[in-house]
Order: sequence, then structure tokens, then C-alpha cells
Amino acid sequence: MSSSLASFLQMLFNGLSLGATLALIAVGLTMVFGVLRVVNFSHGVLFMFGAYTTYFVVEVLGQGYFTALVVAAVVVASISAALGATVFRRFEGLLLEGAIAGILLALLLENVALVWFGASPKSVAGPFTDVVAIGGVYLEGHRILIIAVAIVLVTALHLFVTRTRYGRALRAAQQDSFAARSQGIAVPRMLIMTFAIGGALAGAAGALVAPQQVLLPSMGQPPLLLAFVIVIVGGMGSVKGSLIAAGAIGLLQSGISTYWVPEAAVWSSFAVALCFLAFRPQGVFGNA
Amino acid sequence: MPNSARLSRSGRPRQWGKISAALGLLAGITFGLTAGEYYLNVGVLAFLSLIMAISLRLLMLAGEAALCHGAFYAFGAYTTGILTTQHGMPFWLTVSLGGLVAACGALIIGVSSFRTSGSYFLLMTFAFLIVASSIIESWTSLTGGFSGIVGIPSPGGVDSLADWYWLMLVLAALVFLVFLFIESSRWGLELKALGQSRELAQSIGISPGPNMLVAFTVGAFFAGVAGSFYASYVSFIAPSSFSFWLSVYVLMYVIIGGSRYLVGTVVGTFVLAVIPVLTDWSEGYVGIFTAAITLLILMAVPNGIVTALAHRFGSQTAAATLRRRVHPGVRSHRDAAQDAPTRDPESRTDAILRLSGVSKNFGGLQALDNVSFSVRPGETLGIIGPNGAGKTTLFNLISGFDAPSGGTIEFGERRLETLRPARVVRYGLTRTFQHSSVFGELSAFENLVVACRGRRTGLLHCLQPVQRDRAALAEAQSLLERFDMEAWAETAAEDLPYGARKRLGVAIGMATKPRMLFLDEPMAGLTDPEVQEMTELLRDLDRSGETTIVLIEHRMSAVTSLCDRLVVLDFGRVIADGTPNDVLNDPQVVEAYLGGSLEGFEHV
Repeated sequence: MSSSLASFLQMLFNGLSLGATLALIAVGLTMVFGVLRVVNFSHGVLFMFGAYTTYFVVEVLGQGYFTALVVAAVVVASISAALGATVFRRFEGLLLEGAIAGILLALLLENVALVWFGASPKSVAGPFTDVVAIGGVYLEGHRILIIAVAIVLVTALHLFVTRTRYGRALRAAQQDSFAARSQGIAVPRMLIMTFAIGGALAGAAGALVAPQQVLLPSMGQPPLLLAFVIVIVGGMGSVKGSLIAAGAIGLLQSGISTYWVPEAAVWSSFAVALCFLAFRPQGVFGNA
Repeated sequence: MPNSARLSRSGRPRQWGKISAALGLLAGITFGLTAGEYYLNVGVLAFLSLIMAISLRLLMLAGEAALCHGAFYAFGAYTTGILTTQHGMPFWLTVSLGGLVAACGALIIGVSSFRTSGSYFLLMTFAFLIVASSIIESWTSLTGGFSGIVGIPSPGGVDSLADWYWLMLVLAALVFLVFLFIESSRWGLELKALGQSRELAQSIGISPGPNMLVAFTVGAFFAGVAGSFYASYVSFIAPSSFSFWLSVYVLMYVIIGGSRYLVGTVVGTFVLAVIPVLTDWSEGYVGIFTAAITLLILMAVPNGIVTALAHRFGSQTAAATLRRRVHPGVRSHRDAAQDAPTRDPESRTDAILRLSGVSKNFGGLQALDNVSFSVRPGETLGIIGPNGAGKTTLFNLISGFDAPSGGTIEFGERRLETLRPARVVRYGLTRTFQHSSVFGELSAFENLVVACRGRRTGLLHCLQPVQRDRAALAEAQSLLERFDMEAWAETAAEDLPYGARKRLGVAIGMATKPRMLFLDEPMAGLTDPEVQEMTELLRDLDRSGETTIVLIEHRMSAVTSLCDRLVVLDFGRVIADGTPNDVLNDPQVVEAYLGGSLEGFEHV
């Protein structure tokens, strides 16, 4: 295999695994926006808590990685649901105040993490350390795991919202909370469920990323930034849009890092978001 | 009582504002004379924070917020850093350039955002902040990348920390005064009106886009100036000096004090920028303190501490005023109006408003279908029809809040279909709203003053202090008397009893001196005596010949007694057009609207 083809395939693979992580974060962000019209700036902190929970379960309690993955999803889902129920539901429809409340929560929780876990970086051992090399393309076992878990979780979410009563009620609440309310749907409960689902996905994303990077209280910021770009490009509130945009932004990041300089990756993604906000604020699939 | 006194009384907190500003200045001077090096440094940084916070105020008065003032600060700092170290330019020259570079940044983002509705402005500023800081990090040849710029000189003559302290104290005081001047000008009042209700502001002729753009750009200029001073003060700048949190903190300074009063911003900056430093906490606890206190304030008193306090004292003064003036004055203007001769219907000239074939679709829904009618000067036209018939949509099209899908709307010689609301008002056609009918936090008097804009729109007129705008004050005063609002002059509009708020809504419309006034359900929710009173008021307006009234109304007794002619809408179509008597006996109307009887109609 020629080296340029190999580096192209490597770029695709890395981009997809990054996109898979970002998709898990962005879906929660866009769902919360859909039901509450609030941009949740504290969503990155949930991701960070997912990673630290994994650290705690694996390195401190000595349990297996997959146990930690489940625990992280459950713990972070509970945190997210609690934040939704106590803080965010007061800011329904208030874009500005809701965004500020989210920023404040992020600041608060990040500093709680700083005081609690300390500023020294932590690391977690992953279950798969093998690297499969096929013709110059290195497929890390852990990246394959990330892609696989993301596909399973997104499929499960899809089945839940299309096949179950609760899922349909959730979609109704997201499309028109007033109409849903008048149909007898308990919108506040749907709202808390949305936060729980978003939290579970973000917690899982944190657990998935934990073996790949060092853990710091501020680790939620970079992926949150990219998740914003994804939500804007995919259309605020559109889950399908975010999934596709997550893949695209993952590939864009990976492509720019491979063929240009890694420093350009973040700002070029945001330049894309700026253009969307200025010329097509409803995104690719949104109707906001 | 002179009118200007009334204005300052309506803003009684302004007295408190003056006292507390003087106290703050005194505290600043005492601090500078007594504090040691460490605290002087805290003081300098606090003044820079204060300038940043104040610079965000205009935008926040107008009801928007930005997350990119840290980027403007960085623009100013880097302009000074680059020009002084690489080009040997004197510091004082780079200060204004720093401000201009920041202002250009604001123009770029503001033009692209306010061009549309600007609904995602906050996100846009956030994206801009990220792009700007990444560019600063990666443009190594210009900015030095992560290693930044070192050796930025101090301005000549400013050598010691104490010198810096006094320089920053003077600068902060100057910026405070500049913004005090701007905020007490007519433009400041108009920004506040925009912040209270963007719709209503448009309906009295204030266009949101340009005003927000200027407010944002002026603020960015001052943020850039502050950044220039910062660069020179610390002499070393790097991307880490301008993190995302800088922009967030600036926003919080304004929020927790409340954007309504300038002093609130000073208090907010002190609470968040000074207290944590004085306590000597570690970084984590500072963050927790700041976030927790701001979040609590945001949830408990969304308008900020100082606004809440001022409102508390403000409403007490209003209550006192109310007790003194519980008996309204003599209604002399009404008695006079009663004697005025009614116009002869024959003398009415041709129509001034003409709608032909107007339609409006919302997706598949046909809200208005081929609507044609005209209004002649001096007649009073009622538009009636069941809920959902398209009455308010019709008002929105005529007043420029929405564009028709087809058909023409002519007002005099002009076509209105494509005009924005602020332009339609300037041509003499004003509409009121059923819901956002007043500027809630402004006093009744201020509501009228802001609406008495006159025809002058020059820069000098805009920046004139409201208290000196004698014409507007006198006019607002006469409207107060005419609409029987004397007793409520100093009450915040949101605290007015319902009937008074409705009257104020009509008075705001009249303040724009319309040739034609569109009233959207001026009597909805009023008690029967209040309906009677409103009917009298509107009849007087009609008889005075100042304006032609078109109203949407469900109270049939009022409609039949006021209107010369009725247009009935049903499912977006005109089903009848004629005198009240003819229309209400039209079988089609009776069938479609009255449900077969006139009885229930009275109480719809």
C-alpha cells in the first residue's frame, strides 16, 4: 500500500473514532436544546466526570474497565438529571440566561473537580492495548472499541425513541412542548429524561476517552467546543444532523491535523460554525 | 413639578447612584493612599476589570450579551504589544489604535449577526472568541504564539505601581462618566427600551439592528483600550492571559450587579474581582465562590442585586406618589373635546390606506387570503372576526413586522409591503400590541418620553441628555394628563394596574404622532367601567382629528359605538365590509361569527 494511501486511511480511521466520541457528546447537547431551547455549556463537565468516574472505578476500586463504563454512564446520567431538574428547567426558552447558567455550572463543577481530584494529571489503563497494523495503517484496539460502543449506544437511543412509548413522548416534547403538554405528556419528566440520556452518553464518552489521554479537570472543554460546532452545523435540536455533522467534523479535524497543522484544526472548525451562524443558522437539518 | 425633575425622580436610584459613585471614588482614593504594593496591583487589575464590565453594558441594556469581550481586550493588548515592541510606536498612539482594532472586530461580527434577527448572537460571539484566540495562538510571526510578547513599555512618566494605580483610577472614572453620559442620553433610553421589548421599540421607530451594532462596537472600543493599558501594565502578554473565562467573568460582573444601573456594575465587579483576591483563596475555591454566588443571584434575582434593591425603594416612592395623587385631576381636555364638532362624513377625502389582494401563507396555512379594503382619513374602522381569523397577522403585515406573500399595501403615496417597522412608523403609521404593550421596567413617564422621538434623528439629538429634551418632556407630560396617567407617572410600567397599562399602551402609540393608529385589542381584559373609559378616550382621540383609528376588538358594545365602519374577517377572508348596523345584520356574519345570536357576542 502506498504511503499516501495509508496515511489517508489512517486519517479516516482516526477521524471516525474522534467523530464517534464527539457524536456521543453532541447528541446530548442537541437533545437538551431541542426540548429546552437552552445551550448547555456545562455538558463538557459531564464528559470530564465520566472520565474521572472511570478512573475511580478502575484505578482506585480495582474493578474492570467495562464495569467502569457502565458506572460512569449511570453516575453522570444522575448528575445531569439533577442539574436539569434543579437549574436548567428554570431557564426554558431563555437562550442567554440558560447559556450563562450553564457556563456558571461548568465553572463551579470544574473547580469542584479541581479541589476534589487535584490538578495533577491522572491516567487509566484501557482493556485493549493491541494495535493491528494492516499495510501501514495502524488500527488501535481502543479506537475500534470507541467506534463500536458509540454505534451500539446510538442504535439503542434510536430504538428507544422510535419504538417505545416513552421515546415517542420524548420526541413529542422536543418538537412542541406545548402541544405535548396538552396531550397529557408529563413534559417536566421528559425534560429530566432528556438530561439523563444526554448525561449517560457524555459519561460513556468520558469513560471511552479516559484510557486515551490524561485526565484533568479542564479536559471537558476541547470536546465541548467541537460539540458546539457539530450542533450548530447539524442544526440545533436535530439528532440526525448532529450524528452526520459529528462524523464530518471528526474527519475535518483529523484531515487538517494530517495534512496541515494540528493547531489549525479547532479554529477552522469554528470558522465553519461562524459561517453557518451567519448564513444558515438553522444548520443542515434544523428548522430552528 | 418641572418635567426634568420628574425624570430624575422616576430614576430615584440615580440619586443613590451619585452618592454611591462619589463614595466609591473616595474609597478608591483612600485605598490608593494607604495600600501597599500587593493591594495596589489588585486595584489596578480591578479597574481594568471594571472598564471591561462597563464596556459591555450598552449591549446588555439593549437586551443582548456577548462572550467575546476577552477577545477585544486581547486585540487591544496585542495591538499595543506589537506596535510598541516591533515598530517602536509611542504607547499613547497605540491605545486608540487598540480600541479601533477591537471596534473593527465588533463591526465584522455585528454586521453579519444583526443583519439577520441576531437570535444566535451569543453563540456567534462565542465562536468568534474561539477563532480569534486560536488565530492569536497560531500566528506566531505576528503574535509570538504561545511564548507571547515581552518587554512592552510603560507610558512615559508612569514608573511606579502607585503611578499606575492613579492612572487607572482616573481612566476608570472617565469611562464611568462617559457611559453615565451615554446612558442618560436619549440613545441610552432607547437602548433600554430595546432591552425591554424589541417589538414595541420597533413600533415606535427604533430599529434594533443598527442600534445594537453601535452599542456593541462602542463597547468593543473601550474593551480594546483597556487591553492596551493591560499590555503596557504587565509588559508581557501571551494567549494564556486571555482565556475564555476572562470573557465569562466580564459578563458576570454585569449580571450580578444588574445591567439596569451603572453602579450595579461597579458593585458586581467589586464582589467578583476584588473579594476573592482579598481572601487569599486558592484558584479552585475562587472559581467555586464566583460560580456559586453568581448562579444563586441569577436564579434568585435575575435582574441583579442593585436593580432589585433599587426596584424595592423605587416602588415605595411610587406608592407614596400614588397616595398623594389618588384623585385624578380635572379632565378638562375631555370636556373640551366633547364640544368639538363632529366631522361631516361627506367631507372625508380619499383613502389614505389601501390594501389590495393581500395574502399571507405560513407554510401550508393560508392566514390571509386576498384581503382588500381601504381606510379613509378620519373614519374609525373596526376589524372584527373570531380568534384565528387573521386580524393580528393583518396588523403585522401593515406595520412591517411581517411581509405579505402577495398583494399591495399603499399608505398615501408609499408602498409598505417591504418596509421594516421602524420605517413604517416614520411615515406616520403606528401600531400597538395586545401583549407587549409597554416597556416594563421603565416608568410610565419614561415610556412616553422614549416614544416622543420627534422627527430628528441626528447624532447630537440622540446623545442629548433626556432631561434636556424639553420638547419630548413637555409632550410626554401632556400625554400623561390626556390619558389620565398623572398618578402613575413614576411607576414602573410593569407595576401598573391593568387598565392603566392598557391606557399607557395607547398613549405610547399616540406619542409617535401617527396619522393612523392601529390598536390591537385595546380593551381586552378590561372591566366594564374601564371599557367605558377607554371608549371615551378613543372617541376623544378621534374627535380631535389628530389621527385615524383602526382597531381590532372583541367588545362589541365598544366597537359598535366607536366605529364608523367594520371589516369582518373569517378564515383569512373579508366576509363583510360596511357600517356596524349593516355588517351585524349580515346573515353571513351572523352565521360565521355570531353563532346565530347577538347575545353571547357581548361577552366574548
